[in-house]
Amino acid sequence: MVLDIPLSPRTGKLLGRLFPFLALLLLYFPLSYVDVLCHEMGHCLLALAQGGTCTGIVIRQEGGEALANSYLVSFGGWLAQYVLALAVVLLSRALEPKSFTARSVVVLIVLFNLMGPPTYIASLHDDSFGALQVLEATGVGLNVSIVLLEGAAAVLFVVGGYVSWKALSAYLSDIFGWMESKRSSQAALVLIAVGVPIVLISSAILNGPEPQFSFEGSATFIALIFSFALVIIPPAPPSWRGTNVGPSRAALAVIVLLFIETQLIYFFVVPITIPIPP
Amino acid sequence: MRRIETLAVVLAIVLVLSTTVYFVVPSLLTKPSPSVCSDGTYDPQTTFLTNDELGKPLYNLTYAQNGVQQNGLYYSFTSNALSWIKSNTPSSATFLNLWDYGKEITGCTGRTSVVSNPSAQFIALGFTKNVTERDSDQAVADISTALYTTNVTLSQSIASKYGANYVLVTTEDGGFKAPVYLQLLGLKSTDYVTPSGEAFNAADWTSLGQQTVIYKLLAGQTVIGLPQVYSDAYVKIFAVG
Repeated sequence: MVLDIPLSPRTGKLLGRLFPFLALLLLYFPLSYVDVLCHEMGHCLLALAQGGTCTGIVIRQEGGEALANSYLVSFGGWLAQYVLALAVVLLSRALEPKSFTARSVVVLIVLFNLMGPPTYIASLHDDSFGALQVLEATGVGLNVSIVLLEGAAAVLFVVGGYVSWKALSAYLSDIFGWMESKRSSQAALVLIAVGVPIVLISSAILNGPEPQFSFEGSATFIALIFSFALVIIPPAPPSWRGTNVGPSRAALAVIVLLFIETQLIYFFVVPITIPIPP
Repeated sequence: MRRIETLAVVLAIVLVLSTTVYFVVPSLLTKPSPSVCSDGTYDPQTTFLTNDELGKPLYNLTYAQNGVQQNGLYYSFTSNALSWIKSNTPSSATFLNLWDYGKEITGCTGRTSVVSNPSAQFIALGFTKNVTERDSDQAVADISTALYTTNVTLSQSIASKYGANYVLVTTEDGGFKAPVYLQLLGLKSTDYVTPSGEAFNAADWTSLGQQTVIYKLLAGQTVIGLPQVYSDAYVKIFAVG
């Protein structure tokens, strides 16, 4: 079942372009928690795999922290994010989800987890600082370690950007059925090459380089996503009688409820420690 | 399909209601007033910010010092300790403590804290956001050394260097915060402690960690030259003598 928004010429000019992004925006918050949990679980799993320790995961307003220790623990968070993105890409190829909600979840997870880690790696703070120490301990020297990390970040940004571009391009083609595929591809490229770095860098400057929950980052994200919708997505032609431009009513209800849940968690529940049994 | 959608909506409603009943309502009902910082004898302003890492209310603190407005944080779990300080220490007393508690010691009690802000070196490690003021690298490192060293004599000489009359430690100093300060001092934190939570837990400390001053103070061991003068579930205060 899809939400069939009757697109008059007027609503086609505005609502038809904004509504899918509003749904994406609401999904962004619960998926942020999934992303943070995945990142911290990655630290834990890598620590345990190396024979180290992981006693729990702490979720705070400003992000997460794994209570883990091992030689390569700093790399675990990013690794888990890439594994999650790869799994979601492979699953979506196999299952070919048709619903707006499923497609939106897929594209958001791909964007989060392919575009986020290169920024964190390049920051040389927190996990990146830990990774730098590991590299330096191999005896290659500080400058070479920095070059290696920044180089890895650049390669991952290009590769992740390419995969994200393809995923987003296909998504925009499906959601905005009146757009030509070439326009979808261009729109996706603009978002990947300009929009994502703006959000990630501004968020990193304001809040630090780890995955964060923040009003500043969210506000930047909201402003960018709506500007993008109005500037890059062309208005639907008057003849357009579109479907598949939003989640089903039930899915929308769940998305809104999960959004409310994440806000309650942010303001009233965290910090929480999730213990990992030995 | 419709059945699954209905079930999903019902589950989401149950989730939101459960969170509201178990977390939101109790949180709203148990927010205490920051009486220490609003008792009329001193004039700081406090506004509720959020719950801190121990789940206790954390307040924004604003006060005037020598005509200059100061901003900081007031951790309500230190409330009883701050009351004790106001009643039992001279107004000229100087406290040696992690910078985290410096502003509230000054803002809520009028006493002096050796450090009240992070240093540039501390920030460079990637910790602490949204604090714009800085104390010197030397002072923050010295205070960290005084608490996390295994050399009690060194602690005492640092206290003497800064004219500190009291040492204040909190249970948080022996939890997640410990590795941060050990890292600041260039030490491998796991040689000393692998915290299992926000609060001090003696079982988290290695045999080397158990030689540190902070461990001894929080574990209730006697430290020569630092007799305990105050203790509650969260804070311990020691006289430098």
